[in-house]
Amino acid sequence: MMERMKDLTNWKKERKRKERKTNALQTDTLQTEILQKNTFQTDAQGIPLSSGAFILFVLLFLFNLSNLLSAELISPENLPTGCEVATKLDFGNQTGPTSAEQNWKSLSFIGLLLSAALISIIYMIGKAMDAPGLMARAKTDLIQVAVTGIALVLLYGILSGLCAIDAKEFGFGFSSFFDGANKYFEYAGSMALKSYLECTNSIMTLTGLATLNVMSPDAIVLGNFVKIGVFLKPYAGYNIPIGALRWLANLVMLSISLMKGYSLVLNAIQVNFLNLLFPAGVVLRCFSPTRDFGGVLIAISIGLFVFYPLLFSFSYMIIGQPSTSVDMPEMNWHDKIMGQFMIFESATIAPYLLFIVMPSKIFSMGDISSNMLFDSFSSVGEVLLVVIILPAINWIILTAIVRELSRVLGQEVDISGLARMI
Amino acid sequence: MVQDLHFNNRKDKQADSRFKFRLVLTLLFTVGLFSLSSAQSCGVFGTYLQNGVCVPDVIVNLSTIVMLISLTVAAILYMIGYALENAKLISFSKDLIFQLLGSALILGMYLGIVASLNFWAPSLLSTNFVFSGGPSIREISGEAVGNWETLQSHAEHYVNCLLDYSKESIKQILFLTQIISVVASSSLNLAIGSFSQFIPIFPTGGGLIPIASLGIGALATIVIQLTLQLKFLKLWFAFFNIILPLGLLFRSFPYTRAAGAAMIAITIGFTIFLPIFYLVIEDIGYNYLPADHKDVCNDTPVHFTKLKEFLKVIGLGFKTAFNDATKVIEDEVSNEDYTAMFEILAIQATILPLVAYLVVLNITKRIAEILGGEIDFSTLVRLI
Repeated sequence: MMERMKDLTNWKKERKRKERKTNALQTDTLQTEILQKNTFQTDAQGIPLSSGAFILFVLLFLFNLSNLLSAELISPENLPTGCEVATKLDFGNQTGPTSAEQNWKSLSFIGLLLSAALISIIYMIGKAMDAPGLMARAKTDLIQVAVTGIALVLLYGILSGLCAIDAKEFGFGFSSFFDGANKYFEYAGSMALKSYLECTNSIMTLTGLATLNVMSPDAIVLGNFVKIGVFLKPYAGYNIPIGALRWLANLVMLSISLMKGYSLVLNAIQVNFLNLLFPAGVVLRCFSPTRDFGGVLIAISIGLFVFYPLLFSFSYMIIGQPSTSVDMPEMNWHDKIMGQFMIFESATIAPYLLFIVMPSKIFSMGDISSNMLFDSFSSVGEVLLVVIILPAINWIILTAIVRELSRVLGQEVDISGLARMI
Repeated sequence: MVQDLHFNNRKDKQADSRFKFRLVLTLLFTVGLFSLSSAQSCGVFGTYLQNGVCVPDVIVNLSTIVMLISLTVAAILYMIGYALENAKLISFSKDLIFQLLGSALILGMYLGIVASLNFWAPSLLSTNFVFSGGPSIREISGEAVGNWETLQSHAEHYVNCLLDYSKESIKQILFLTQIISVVASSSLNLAIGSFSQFIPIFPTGGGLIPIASLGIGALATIVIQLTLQLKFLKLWFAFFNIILPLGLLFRSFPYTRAAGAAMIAITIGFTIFLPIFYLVIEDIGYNYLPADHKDVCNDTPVHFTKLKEFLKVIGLGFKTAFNDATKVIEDEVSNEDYTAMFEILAIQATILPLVAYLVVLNITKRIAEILGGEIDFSTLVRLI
């Protein structure tokens, strides 16, 4: 009984001591506390990181410096794909997104080493000045460096895995998710162009026909002195749908630009986002005051680098992985107008001929024109799905994922505020 | 004594809840067994089931394999957690296993419902959702029992009918505008000897152009949104093939659970509820259409190419010129043919599908919430 009481008193004392220690640590986030308690219970004092990290850093710095000095530029036409940026690391004398001095892997690694070195220095200063608060903070930061390092390795593993799978082996029409997204944009752009050409062809045909003037001064001849001439525009009514067509053509033209914009964003994401934002996020995440912001940067870079192309690849699958080479419509407006011009010109040669030709022409051209109109309207409907609705759904999912990721890594991004701003 | 009573009550309640739990389990087992047997009749690999029809596919099976792998990984994690006595790992893997089992259950139930459509959907041929006991549009539109393929194909057939009707309407209105414009732009030159006089035939005809322009603009919108509806209906293939397996996968992991739930909800909403709601709006449209225009698939809009209709329009022009225009238009709008054309294009092709989509989206939102996710449709609408 006495022993149990003793044990209980000791346990309480121990707990109080731990509580005091925890309060003194003033760790910034709950996540860090959990990590400290459960996963990383190693004592940072025992890790001889500072000297080793410094030597490694100096070596890498010299190596990169020599690379930079003897570097060759990669032409913009041969920019590497996202998978190459994610997995390749060139130590040759080339400068570009995959070269060691610009690639996210080496930059993040250097960033981690630099951060570790800096934290070690802070720890040393804390030790020298006998400041337990500073030492505790440095220890926490060091643990975060380790966590970020593990996350880095994990991310590299995931990206390598995703890029290593050749989707064509599974019956898909693209090899990687970057390829799938590119094909989607290409297809959507081609569809928009096709729709635009259809609308333009209709506008040109209808405008040409609407301006056709028929002048037959001798349409009806009554004896030698009385003549009734007819002056008319047989297709003047076609002016009416041109307004609607013009509006739709403008909308579709905007869609072509939109798809080009999406494609450019994908290129920028492939080449720059992981290489620029991720290393910055890694470094910022290692230090307590900037940890949340670093998490946000990492979330944005991973979210956009992985999920932006992934979601558009899914969209490409949703629309049935069609061929990117879309058959463009025949721009035959000129032939149609010239044909009608010839027919009506010849109808004015002889009296009464115009009244025979006109009704049949009005009926036949009415059929052709209404079909053209319907096809143009339908094609715009088809285009809206691939250029507006599916991308909008993708953006919603993308923002949700980035928000969730950023919440896990530190601070929630106010995506809705950003969307409102845009 | 009182304690005994309380104890007995508690015991009864426990037995009752156990019974309910077993009942639910039995039901789930039955549904699972049913879906499994239906799926097996389709073949295990290389095919999947939609409305009772076997269609070749690889993705569903791939997702099943990945789900099985995830289940194995979760089980291994659970074992490691026990071996290392790590409470966090145990709870994480437990949660993962439960979620995977939940996803498998959802898949089973969904497959069961979709497979059952094959049995009960044909009975909808002779139904009238709006007035029970009333005649069914699906029977009079000539879609006999033998022609009924799937619920989805019926919805597509219905939208195609509306598209055909819109196409014919464009043709008729274009013809009308063309004739009016010919007359309005024509002038005669009467030449007697050296005397000549220009006489315009119908100079005020140009006043009709804004109305015709409005009509064409409205028809453009109708055709665009009907084409979109048709495209959406044709996406059931993708919903079943891509969105559902992805949703099941995403739902298994904590950070993508909400997105996964939303994807599963969208699949359920758009492959089961949307085609059913097309039947409902078809019935509503049917009950409010004039007697001679109930069958959209075989109906035609006002034929302006017919001389009678054309003369009627010309007469309308004269009437409005000499009388109270509002009164004339009011009288003509009550004309059955024009009313039917307006009702089909504005109500049946535009407003009712919009209502159906709103209802389905709301159902989808609720299903997503039940499955552990959320869909922010307001942001989507703002984006579009």
